[in-house]
Amino acid sequence: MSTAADGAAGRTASRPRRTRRRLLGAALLAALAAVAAIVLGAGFGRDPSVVRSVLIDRPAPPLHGATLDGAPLDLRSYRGKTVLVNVWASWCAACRAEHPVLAAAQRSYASRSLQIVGVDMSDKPADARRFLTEMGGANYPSVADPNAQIAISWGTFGVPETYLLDAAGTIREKAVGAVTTGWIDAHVAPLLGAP
Amino acid sequence: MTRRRIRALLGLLALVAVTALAGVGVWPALAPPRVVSLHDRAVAVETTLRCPTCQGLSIADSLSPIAAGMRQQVEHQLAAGATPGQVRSYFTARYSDWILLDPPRRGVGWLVWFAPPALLLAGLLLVRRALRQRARPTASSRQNLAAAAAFAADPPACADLPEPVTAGLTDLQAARLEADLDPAGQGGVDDALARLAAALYDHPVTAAPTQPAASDAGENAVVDDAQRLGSAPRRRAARYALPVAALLFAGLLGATLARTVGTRPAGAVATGNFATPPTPSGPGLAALQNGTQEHPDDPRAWLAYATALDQAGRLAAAEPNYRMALALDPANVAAREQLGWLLTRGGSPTEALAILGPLTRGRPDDPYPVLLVGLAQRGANQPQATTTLRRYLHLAPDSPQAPLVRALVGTTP
Repeated sequence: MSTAADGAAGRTASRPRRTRRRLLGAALLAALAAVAAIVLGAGFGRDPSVVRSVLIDRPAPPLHGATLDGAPLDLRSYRGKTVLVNVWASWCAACRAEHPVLAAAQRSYASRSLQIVGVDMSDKPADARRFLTEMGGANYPSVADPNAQIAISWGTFGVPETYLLDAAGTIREKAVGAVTTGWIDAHVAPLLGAP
Repeated sequence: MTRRRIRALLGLLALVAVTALAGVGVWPALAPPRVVSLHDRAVAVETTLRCPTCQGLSIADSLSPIAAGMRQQVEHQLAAGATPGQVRSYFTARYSDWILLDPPRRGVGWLVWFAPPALLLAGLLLVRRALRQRARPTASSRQNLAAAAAFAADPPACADLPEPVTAGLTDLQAARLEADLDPAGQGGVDDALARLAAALYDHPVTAAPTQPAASDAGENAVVDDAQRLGSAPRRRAARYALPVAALLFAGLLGATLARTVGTRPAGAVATGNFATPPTPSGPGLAALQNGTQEHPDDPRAWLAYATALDQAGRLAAAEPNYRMALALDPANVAAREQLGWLLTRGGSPTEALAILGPLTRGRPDDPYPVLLVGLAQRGANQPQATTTLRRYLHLAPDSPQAPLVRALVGTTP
């Protein structure tokens, strides 16, 4: 145990062991720093409030109720058409900007089987009707949803949000925020039928 | 007991104290409530669901319309017999796991739950090693190095030297041999000597039993003396710093938790200060009205509806509901007080006095009915109003209404 050779081995083994431990510690620290940097960097770029809808490519949830005019409406009656379900409210500022875009789309593409259906969320019918009158009337029906139950069953985060359904009743796309003509051209037009 | 054992014991005590006191603070909030109403169960589920339009708020605390709709859905489902898990699944199916305030215990979610304690543990281990290494320089103080050199020059002959000391001696011999061959190896000798000093510091060698080692006993005594004198005060302070800090932390944590969380009723939110009185909005009033229609014999339903209407400023609508609640339960103090106050405000003070009368007869020293009666008497221009209001000030001189009442009565504070 106490020969010179063993002693030498003991001495020369200790320095690499120490440097190895230091290297291991440094490597661990570098790995942690890298992971933290990647996670933070990736996260900072994302808007935490935008979550991709889990309903994309799934069948649309049920939608039925009374419209603002009192007539009954069921989404299933529009099967075979390209449908835009637009969740809005009279107290929502962005919905004012969005309404003309939707009205124009309904006018242009009605002949190509587009049907827009509104869901008036957490709103009083009188306020909603006043809003529509101010905007120059509506050329598509809106279902009253005073307690947001329909909106919640569709996974709505806020207003305005719009769901695009194809002719089979599957949700293909969801717009969070006001819909623009660019979005309609990009996502709705390809699904429309022949004129 | 050696110093080392004391330190270890203190550290263990500190750990136990931190855990125990933290548990003491949180325990009252975790105890299940004895009577669980539908509302309580709904709130328990609501505090775990995120409001979609707000950052980091639960739907229990949010005022947005989506949160109100989600609360209604939660109550509806719980009333229909769903479990909290089923209610949460309903929302995660439509909003993804993001809707849960706690990260899910699945897949990557486990990382979020385990990473903090694991990193804390790693940090503690690093701190322990850093503290050990910081103590080493004292072991390598000049005195200790000299003592180690003396020890190495004439090591004791007893065979049961501690293993690190033997290894240190061997390393030192090897280093000296190498230094003889290669002058650049002198640094290695210093390293080996330092390691031997450290080994002797960690494993003090007691006096050898054999007589020829009398000088060894002297050298070992030198080593012991060096250890005692050279390093004691700083080492002691450094070693006790961590356990003392942990005990201080545990004490403060326990005291603060007991004060802020210990007094909360069972089942309430464990932390935070969300004391939001429910603002009766349109849907809320409708729900309360439904309550009175569904439970026409329950005075509490009528009282709740009446209170909400009262708070919303609709006194005329609230009055018949208060009367209904009182008719169903003449002993209901809240209904009587609120109806009396409403009648006073609404311009019928004499009727208010008739309603409030039984309250003061039953509980003459309760200040609030005295205040209401006094205000009703004042509304009816009765002369005894001043006496009654002065009696209220005598019963409750520090209440929030006292300054206003003093102004009415005309006395100086």
